[in-house]
Amino acid sequence: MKDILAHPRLHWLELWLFPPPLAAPAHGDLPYDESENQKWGWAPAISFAGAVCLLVVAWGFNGARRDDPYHELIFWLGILTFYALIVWRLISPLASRRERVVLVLLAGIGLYMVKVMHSPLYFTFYDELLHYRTAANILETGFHFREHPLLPVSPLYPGLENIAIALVNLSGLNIYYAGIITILVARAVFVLVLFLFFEKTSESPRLAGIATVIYAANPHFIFFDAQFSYESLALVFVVMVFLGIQYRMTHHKDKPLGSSLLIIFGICATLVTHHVTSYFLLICLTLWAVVAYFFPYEGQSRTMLFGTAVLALVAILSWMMYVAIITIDYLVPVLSGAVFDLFKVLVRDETGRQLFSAQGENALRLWERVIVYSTALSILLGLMLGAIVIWREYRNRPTYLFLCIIGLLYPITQLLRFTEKGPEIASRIGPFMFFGIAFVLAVSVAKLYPAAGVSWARWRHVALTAVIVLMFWGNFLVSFPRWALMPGPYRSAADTRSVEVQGLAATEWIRDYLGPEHRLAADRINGLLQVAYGRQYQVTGSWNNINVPGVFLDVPFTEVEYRTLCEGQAEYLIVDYRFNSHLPLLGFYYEDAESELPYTEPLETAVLDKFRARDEFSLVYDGGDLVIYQVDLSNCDR
Amino acid sequence: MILVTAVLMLLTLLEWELSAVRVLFAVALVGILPGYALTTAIFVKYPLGFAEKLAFSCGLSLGLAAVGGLLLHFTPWGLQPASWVIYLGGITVVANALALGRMQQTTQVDLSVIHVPLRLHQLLLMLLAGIVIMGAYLTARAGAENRPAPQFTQLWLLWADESQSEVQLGIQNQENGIRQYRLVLSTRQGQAQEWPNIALAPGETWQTTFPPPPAVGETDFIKATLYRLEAPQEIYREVYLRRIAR
Repeated sequence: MKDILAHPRLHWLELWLFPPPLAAPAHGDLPYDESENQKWGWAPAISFAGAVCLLVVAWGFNGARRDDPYHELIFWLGILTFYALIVWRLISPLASRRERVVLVLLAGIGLYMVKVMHSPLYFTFYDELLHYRTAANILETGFHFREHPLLPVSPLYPGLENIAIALVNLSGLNIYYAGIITILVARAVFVLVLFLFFEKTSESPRLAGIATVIYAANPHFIFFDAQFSYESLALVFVVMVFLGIQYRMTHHKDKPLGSSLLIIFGICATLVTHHVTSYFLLICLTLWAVVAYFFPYEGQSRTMLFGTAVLALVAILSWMMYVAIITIDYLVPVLSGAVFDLFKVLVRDETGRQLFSAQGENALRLWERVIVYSTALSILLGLMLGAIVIWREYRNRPTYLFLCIIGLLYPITQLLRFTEKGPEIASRIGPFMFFGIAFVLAVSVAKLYPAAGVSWARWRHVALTAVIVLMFWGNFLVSFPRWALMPGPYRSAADTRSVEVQGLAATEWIRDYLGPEHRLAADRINGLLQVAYGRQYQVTGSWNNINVPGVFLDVPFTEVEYRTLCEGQAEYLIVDYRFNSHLPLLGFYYEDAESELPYTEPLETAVLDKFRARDEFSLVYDGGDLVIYQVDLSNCDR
Repeated sequence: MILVTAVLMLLTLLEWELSAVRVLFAVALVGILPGYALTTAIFVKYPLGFAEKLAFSCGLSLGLAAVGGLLLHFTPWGLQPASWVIYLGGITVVANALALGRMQQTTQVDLSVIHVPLRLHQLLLMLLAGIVIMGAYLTARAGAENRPAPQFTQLWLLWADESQSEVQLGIQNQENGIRQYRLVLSTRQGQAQEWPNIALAPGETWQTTFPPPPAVGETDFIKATLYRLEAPQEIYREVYLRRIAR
């Protein structure tokens, strides 16, 4: 390449592409001054203003619960102002290091509070309820690896539940509060460790602060990775490993004990906490080692990175093979299906999925779509600029290049959004890709606004703050279906919006009067509640390989449906009469793909009533909208 | 530090009643102390800043608890309060002793107190911020508790035992005021029993157990019908029970 560029006519291109890298990073920080960096600056004032913004968010949520007008406006006002205040100060070259540390902590904890205020009484998100069951099993028996009816891999990765159970055991709190505290501590550690990792990499508290707050703009930061769910915790350990490596390579070369233990400990904690995150860690370590091999930095050990990658490989593979072998069955169909779909779209064997094709309450409004498209465009432009800057100025630093590659993979992975099975994967890898994206975008920001004294400084400051807030907004809009972003009145088959008092009362009733561990068939939400809070066993098509939707939806009820119940050994059925007045917001009431065509009308009452006329059922519970039938399985052998 | 940990371990083992102090101690033992002790021990030759110390202390503590739960699983006691106290407290004490030992071997120990130049108005603003955030949480909580929710009454009818020799019948009022009900028990042969006025306060439960009416054979059923006295002709809830062949 360089030989070609050596041609006299291409000399300018060589100069542009291969200028000498900078000897030391320059990201617009103030000259280092210990006393200046100890100052609190605007952090207390912004903390107070941010707290008021969170109060506004709480009012917005309460308005949403009552379905008040303007609740959405109030909510956006609160959350966007909160984020904008922090971004504004972190972009400023004048903030001290201490101020930046406080502000990233404020961003992490404040945005976590948004999730807590969304569900302040009990867990309502789907994954949280799954993990609640795992924790309840451990709490009941004092031991691990008890069967989970809906997420069999969860007991095999009990890192999160271990911490929650330790808190329950020692404090006397219930699992909900222990879970909230666990994730709160994890979130605070996460933003702090991420800040330190970016800081050690860039030698710039300013860039670290900007990168951390941009990371908080990733679609999963507010809800998905704030859930009581294994990924929320595992991400902390991944960044601890990254930070340990960075220490080991640069600051602690002579005394590597501490950083080495941090790396080993982080790998062990990740592999017992979450499968996908541990695989991501392995991929990152390998990529980092390869980059460091081809672009070595003076004095940095290349073998250390390969050694770490090998250690992670052995540990993760061992865990998977000897403890969690079913993870393969769990993940491979999803991944292979998405890749196969993508291949079909790329070779034009299949037309791609149309973006924003959702209808009704799932559809984004025009202004929301504009924000989402602007977000995508801003990220792409920022990535391009940041990648160019990194290549020209910092290509002698392997960690910069490693993060840049991770960031640049993001647009490619988003092609999965055009497939039928891929959108969820494209969405789920966002938090991992954002480690790179956040860093590269922060490099762009520091390049565009390098110091306080540059021309148009104020405008640069305003414009960059606006763009980052726009990215936060756009990503938040697509993080969950729009009806899930805020609490509100009951909706059918709408996960967090479907968890309410009638379902909880039925759950409590079954647990108290029938006892735990009964096999029952139910819709998605009532089944989940029974599994989590009622400690029952829900029979499903996914895990029991029976046609559960057919039992509820096929009319009339025949011997075929009865045989299905026999196969699943379902002792009880739960029927939700709200399905005759509400459409399923997720597109299905019972299980994915239960209906060939999208529902345009709620279920007919006759469909829900069909069990009443049958001798195989006793109606043992009537709670109004929810009724429970006991199934007479004594004729299964006939 | 060792003394504090020992006191915490003792207090936790005594299982004193739930209180804010106990919760704080538990959070300290799970989320801070073991990691802090370990950080002090392993980074003794390399002074860390406050942010680093905080991050490593909490991060390592979380990691120790995450991995430690598995270790406890393989003990005969499993994950119990006592085993957690011994595990987490033990690590804290041992790591502290190790840190003390390593400190004596090095001349580079940083024992300086963290300097926090916070002015009064800044301190007040931070305190106010904390109070407002707590207020925001309580506001959201109050909103969730008082959100418009459906009023409903639960009615149930169950075999009270495996031999189906007794029936359990119950009502629970989940509405926001006192409700009066009439409950009728019937079979194919007609009405078997009636409770003309059952008054229940919000959250109150009424239940009874009785032998099934003699006419209830293999093919018959018992039916309980609930009426509200304010709408006596309108069936409010209805349940029925058949015999199950065992």
